[in-house]
Amino acid sequence: MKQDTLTSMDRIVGTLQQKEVDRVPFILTLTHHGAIELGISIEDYYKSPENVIKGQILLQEKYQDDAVMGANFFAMEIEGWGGDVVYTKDGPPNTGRPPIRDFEMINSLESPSFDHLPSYQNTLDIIAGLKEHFGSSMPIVGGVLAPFSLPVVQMGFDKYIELIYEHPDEFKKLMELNIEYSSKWANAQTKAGATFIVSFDPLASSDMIPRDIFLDKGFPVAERTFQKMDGMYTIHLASGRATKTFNDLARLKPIVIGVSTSDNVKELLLSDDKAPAILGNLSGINMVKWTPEQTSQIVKDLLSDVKSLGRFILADNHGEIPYYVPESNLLAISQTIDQYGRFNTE
Amino acid sequence: MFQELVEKLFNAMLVLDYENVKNILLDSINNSENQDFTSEELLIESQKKFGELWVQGDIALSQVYMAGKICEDVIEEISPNFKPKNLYSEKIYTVVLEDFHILGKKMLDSILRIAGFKISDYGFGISVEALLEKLKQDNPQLLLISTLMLNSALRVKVLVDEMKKLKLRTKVIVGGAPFNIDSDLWKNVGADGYAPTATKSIEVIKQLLGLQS
Repeated sequence: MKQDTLTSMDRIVGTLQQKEVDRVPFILTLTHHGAIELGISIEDYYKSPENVIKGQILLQEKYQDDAVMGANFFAMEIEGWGGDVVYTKDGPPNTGRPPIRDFEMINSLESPSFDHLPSYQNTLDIIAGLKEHFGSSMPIVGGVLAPFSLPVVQMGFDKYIELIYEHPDEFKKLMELNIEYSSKWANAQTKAGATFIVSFDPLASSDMIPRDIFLDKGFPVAERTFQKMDGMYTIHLASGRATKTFNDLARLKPIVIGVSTSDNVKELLLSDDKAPAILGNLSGINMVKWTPEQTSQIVKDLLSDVKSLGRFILADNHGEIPYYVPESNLLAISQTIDQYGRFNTE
Repeated sequence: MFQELVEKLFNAMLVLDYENVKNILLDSINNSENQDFTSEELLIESQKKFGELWVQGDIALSQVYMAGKICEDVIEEISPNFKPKNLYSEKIYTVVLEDFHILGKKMLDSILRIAGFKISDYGFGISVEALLEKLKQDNPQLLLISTLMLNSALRVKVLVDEMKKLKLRTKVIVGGAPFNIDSDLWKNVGADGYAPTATKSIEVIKQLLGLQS
């Protein structure tokens, strides 16, 4: 591995500002893999911020990627709304039964206070611990479920679609609560030391909701949320295709947009030279079965497509690499970036 | 005539025109003696179009769901008039394995009932162990499993292996995001079939159970 001339923070910030950097930055979005590194269960791993801090440091040392994850699992946000987290032995913690059971419930709902909940405090402690370790050399990623997408876990996707189409008053009420909650939670993470906040908003993808409905209902919600946020933010579509809404999302002024493996990164970058940087777009699910050679070839192909355009951070397309992706493939990504992602080697 | 009606019904569902959907269906039912297709075939074909367009990225999942919901609501209202021509007696169950995301299963249950299948429900958030106990007790001919997370999808392999050990002959069809992304995954987990959309599952069920199309 060659000696890096820039810190990860320099590399990411330089890429966002369209300045010349030493190589294409990459973020592996490894979360529960830290439990594998420490040889403990995922549930035990997440019980202690010290475990996660240690895990994130070990993962970054091993793969030399350009950010660490301060916010590690987003199912925890359901606890703020009275729901449960379900732990598994081989995947991200998931949300349990949605806490909002009917549309009526929304009328008596209040935006939750999360200060007393250990999972929220643990996340803030993880961010602060990583900040203490890395200082300003390494971006620390915070994250929130975007207000327009949060109801998928608050009430279930089926009921939420019905809310959007058939219950305008309750929809409005829930969005007000979610804007207040999400911006507050984002700001707490920024204050703890997160470099930027990833707003996970799969419903901003036209795979999920038609563009006109997103523009009418989702866009203003995102706009108001970002206005209330103190720090930098990115939008991530969590595997949803960005093609139809990319230029709309760019108007929300995120620093980065995370796109799907089905999106053409080159076309998106060429569609608007003032658009934010793109994060993506390796298929995490397919990465499970790739060989290291295939992984390397896919990374090379992507780099040859977009490297010269700048504004690109290589990552998976979901915002979280699955548990079963083998270490050999992650090392292959890291080594291929090191070999073929440098700007001064060609 | 059939394709023209399919198009009309599709458009009515797309704009959520409840009255129009109802009238097209009632016309078709009242006209059944003069046409060589059934009203459920008309409904299924229109919904199939939603599924296909969603797979291609041309329409959104919310539109597919709402089209299914409007059909269900209309059928409920006109239920004395709407009777599928073929009623299947096979014992079929649907389930969401280890997960609480039920959207896919809801759409599946709805279209299968329209197609004339009697669907029983194993619910959601169920573990492999609990599901095995239910399968031992009920011994269904077919189980349709919906998953959202990759680890739940991979758990199907554990289920299928255990079913083999127990000599359970239930056929397994899978669906959900991980199977849509990795086209070989359904074979790797040992499922008998895979359906990328709810309407596609009708064909797969008929094929696996040797039912007439």
